[in-house]
Amino acid sequence: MNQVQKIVICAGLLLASFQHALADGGNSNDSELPSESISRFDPVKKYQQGIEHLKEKRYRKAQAAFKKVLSVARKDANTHFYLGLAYYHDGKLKKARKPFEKSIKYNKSNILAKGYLGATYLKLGHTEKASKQTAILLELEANCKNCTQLNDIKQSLQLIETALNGSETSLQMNFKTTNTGNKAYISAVKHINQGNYSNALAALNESATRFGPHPDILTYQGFANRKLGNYDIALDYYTQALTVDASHKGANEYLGEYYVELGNIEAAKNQLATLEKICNFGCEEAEELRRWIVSANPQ
Amino acid sequence: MNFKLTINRNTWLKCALLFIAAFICEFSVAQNKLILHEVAWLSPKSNLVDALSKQPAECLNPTAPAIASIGRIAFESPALLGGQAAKMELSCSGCHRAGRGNPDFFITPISTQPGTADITHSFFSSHGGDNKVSAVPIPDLAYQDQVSIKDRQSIEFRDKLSQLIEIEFDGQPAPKIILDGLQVYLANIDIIFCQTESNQTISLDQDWQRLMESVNALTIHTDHATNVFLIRAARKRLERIYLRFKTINNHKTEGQIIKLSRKLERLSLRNIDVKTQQKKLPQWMQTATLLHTKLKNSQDRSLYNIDIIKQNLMKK
Repeated sequence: MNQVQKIVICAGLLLASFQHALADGGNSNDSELPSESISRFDPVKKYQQGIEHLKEKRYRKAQAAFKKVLSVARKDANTHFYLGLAYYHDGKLKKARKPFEKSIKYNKSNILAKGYLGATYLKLGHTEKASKQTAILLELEANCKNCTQLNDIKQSLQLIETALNGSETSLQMNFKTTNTGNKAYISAVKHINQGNYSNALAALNESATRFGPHPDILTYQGFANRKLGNYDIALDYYTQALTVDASHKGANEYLGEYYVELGNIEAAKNQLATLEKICNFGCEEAEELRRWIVSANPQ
Repeated sequence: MNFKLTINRNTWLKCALLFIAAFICEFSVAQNKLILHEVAWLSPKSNLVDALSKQPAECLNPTAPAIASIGRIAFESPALLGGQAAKMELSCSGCHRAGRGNPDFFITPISTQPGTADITHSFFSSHGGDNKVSAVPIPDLAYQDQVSIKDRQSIEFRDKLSQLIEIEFDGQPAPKIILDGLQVYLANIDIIFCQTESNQTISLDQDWQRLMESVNALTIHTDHATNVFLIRAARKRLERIYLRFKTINNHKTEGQIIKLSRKLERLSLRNIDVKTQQKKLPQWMQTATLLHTKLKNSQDRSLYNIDIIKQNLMKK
């Protein structure tokens, strides 16, 4: 083999390995300078991939995708739920249990998670725990006169009954479309602007089902909770948003406003400094936070 | 396969150089994306090449008072608006390109068709919308229809402008001089002043001219609010130029544009006094002039070149 051939092989091998590294679940780098790069791993994209795998019943790939998302967004209720689904329909019931439990822990209004958890408990022989889930669902049903969650409640009770009968349930999820997710998001923004924060949260939850731990959604979930006086929950959402994307302007702004509301002006100023660093050309988020700080601290 | 791969030092060097060249090539291809702000409010059905490379002729009275240029700076800057609009980097010229209309404008949910907008929708306003979807065709401001507003120099029109900025688009009250300029600019946009009906090319020269107008105005308008606004507008103009030059993948150039913006930030009256600002401005101008020359030499590879826009759209 001559020298030219050796060089070509060498370059080819190096290039192939680099392309493989780039292709691994990441998006291209949107940073303005290489030194300001965010992680190449985009949890929102990975979540979408997980959903596609789940739809196509590629359960192992779905599990891998959702686990990767949770490595960044460990409190995302939807991801936990879908991971649980991927395990459940793959026959891995022991592994399915914790994700369903966490999904409910992080979003108590996830009805289907209760149904699947109940079915999982039953199949694992934890009949008492299964009964508890059934009781919760029956109470919800009794209090739900034509409420929007009635279908989910019925489906959940059906899941448990099917498990009780020893039958198998096939994956039947009404996966939200991108259009539905977008509409829900826009509706949420409208509700926020109108001061209807509870309605905004419901719309944001719907949007999050489609998009996963999207920092825009997480930020608004934080904002709406803050406006409702749920400061701890708000902080949690802002932290989640910034874990997914530390440079998210909205999350940094609203976290700063949170600090102003709590009287922690120094922390708010730190947030402003962060924004000024992120925004190479200035940004509305920094301007808005600056106004908040000046209003709270005129000197 | 059974062979001995003995690679000497020279071969390794050649290999590494080849790899680096291949990496730069692949990475450049991966990085070329159309990341202009205006893509966010253009209908996907529109001819994006035209929409991103051309704009209508501006029908501005050639004898308009000098303050009209301040008005145009404000009209074309997201710094004038607030809330969602400003966060999307939308300015008045997003809907009214060069003070005209925009048949390609489309944002869900305020548009029902390309070229329409519902500005009473609560998407952009935290003051509450009217809960009705009432998107209307975006009017060409050069046609002063004498119907809704008879006189653009009136108090009524000025109040209307303030309402649009503060209520419909969640903006802060504009400094007096900025509002004066905006009113004069709009009062001097008229179809009778159109020298041509054909579209004009969006150019580095024009963006640079607007940038310089903002910065030069700092020497005249030294009141805090106007001065701060002009710096914000100048920085936003630099961002517009920066995004057009992202395609050349020259991080040094990108860094220089950012540096120029950062220097302007430090020159803001938020950080220094008027005297110091006026003293340091000529230095900034010098740096800017050098950068301008550099940018002019490489603009053929930027998104100011229609062919580069076409190439990037194909890659999308």
